[in-house]
Amino acid sequence: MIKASFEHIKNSKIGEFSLKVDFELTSADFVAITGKSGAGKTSLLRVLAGLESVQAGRISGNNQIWVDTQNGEFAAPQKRAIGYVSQGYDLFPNMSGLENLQFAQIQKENLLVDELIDMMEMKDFVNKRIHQLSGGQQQRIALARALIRRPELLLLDEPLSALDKELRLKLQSYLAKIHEQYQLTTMIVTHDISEIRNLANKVMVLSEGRCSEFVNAEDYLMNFKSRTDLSLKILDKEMASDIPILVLETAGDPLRIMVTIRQWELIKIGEDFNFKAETHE
Amino acid sequence: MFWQPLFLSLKLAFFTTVALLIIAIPLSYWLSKSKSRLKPILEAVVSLPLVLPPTVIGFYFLVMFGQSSSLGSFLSDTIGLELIFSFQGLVFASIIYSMPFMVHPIQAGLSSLPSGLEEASWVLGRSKLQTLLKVLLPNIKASILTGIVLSFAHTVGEFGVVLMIGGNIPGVTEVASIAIYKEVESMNYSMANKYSAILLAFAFIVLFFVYASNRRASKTYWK
Repeated sequence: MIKASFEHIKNSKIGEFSLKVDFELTSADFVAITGKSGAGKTSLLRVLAGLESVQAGRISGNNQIWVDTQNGEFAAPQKRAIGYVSQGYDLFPNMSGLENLQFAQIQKENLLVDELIDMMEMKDFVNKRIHQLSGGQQQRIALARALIRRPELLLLDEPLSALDKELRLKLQSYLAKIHEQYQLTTMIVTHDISEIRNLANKVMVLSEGRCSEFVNAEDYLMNFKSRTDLSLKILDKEMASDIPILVLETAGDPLRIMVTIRQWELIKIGEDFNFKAETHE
Repeated sequence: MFWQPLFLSLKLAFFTTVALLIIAIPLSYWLSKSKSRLKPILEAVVSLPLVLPPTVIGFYFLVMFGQSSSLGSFLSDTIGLELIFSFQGLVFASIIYSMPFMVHPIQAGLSSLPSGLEEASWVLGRSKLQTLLKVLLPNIKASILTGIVLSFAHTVGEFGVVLMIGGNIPGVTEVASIAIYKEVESMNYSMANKYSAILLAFAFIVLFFVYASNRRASKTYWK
């Protein structure tokens, strides 16, 4: 059981940002965290992992207190039973894939390492150096490495966002298998509706540092057609027969939408495009 | 007798480099991570030898550790440590004089690593010391090698500081650069030329080695 109720205040170049949440999760929960960029999704994971501190509140995992600001308690990341996969994977380039996995072993028992290598089909490349691996292979090593310590909470920060559709679906199946086999609370930051559909049983929507919704995934998907705010990355801009078109990144094929010429001129490739949409599930 | 100053230079450079490596790793780590207000002060102190004439460092070293100073006489009386006109004094002064050549490359190497590497190691249960030794330092091998080679070479090439605090006692403080000066003073250009040619070749080989190994290291990890 993971319980968190805290306020985290961060000062950045664009001003003060406050993240305030309150939730409880069981080992059966697979939570998709979604929201616009800057809503506090990564900060939430970093606070839970102990990489950022909170100003007020309490966080506990399986009856062990990780943070209690009233009593001045703060457990360092090393003391929390957490697996964390960041957007960039952060694999150690001086080691091979296998050495990355072994680095996470506190006790020298290879059972879990071997089990994960089998489960995630990594035998063919696990002995290669990190720079010799593809994005999907690195992702699998990072995921397996996060599981070696047998965490109670697995935190995944958009781990599949850089991969192509086919690989995403394959890795989604690994994630589902891991969640089922090890029964560990999992939180994944995602913008991808297929990840929510295939993996999550709950959805947390963050908006400007606040949890605007925390609902069952089924309810979220049922109501998805009425969802209005979407934020997708702009892959390209085209002018088709004088019609300004934006090419947006989605889980599947890129989405092409027509915009005004003024929007087309102002918008830059690589930025997120926020727009209102009605999608039917 | 010909090889003695060269041997002494290498011995001085070896002890200085080993001591500097031990000091510079924690210092560089702190400088690369700290947001303390003391950081710019410490950075300025470490970099002073880059801009100060060696004679200034030598002079203050004499003032601080000479027999007439309270610190110098205290060290001499209590633990018998003489830092003026002695080999250990040369090592101590060389550590300060070559400090930036070790600290700067290691600090730059540590600063260039993504912060996520360190955090990933912590989340995997590894302490800060284990993270430093097993993750951070192995990933900045080229920077460490640069620091070692530059500190070693810079110490071999020291002159002003050595002359000020060590004098030219044969077998004790007369290193190669001092020997060249002494030979030139005695108009013995042939001997000065031999020492100079050896130091010139040494400096070139060392710098060639640094650039070649940095090129290879940058090809290995960060593709």
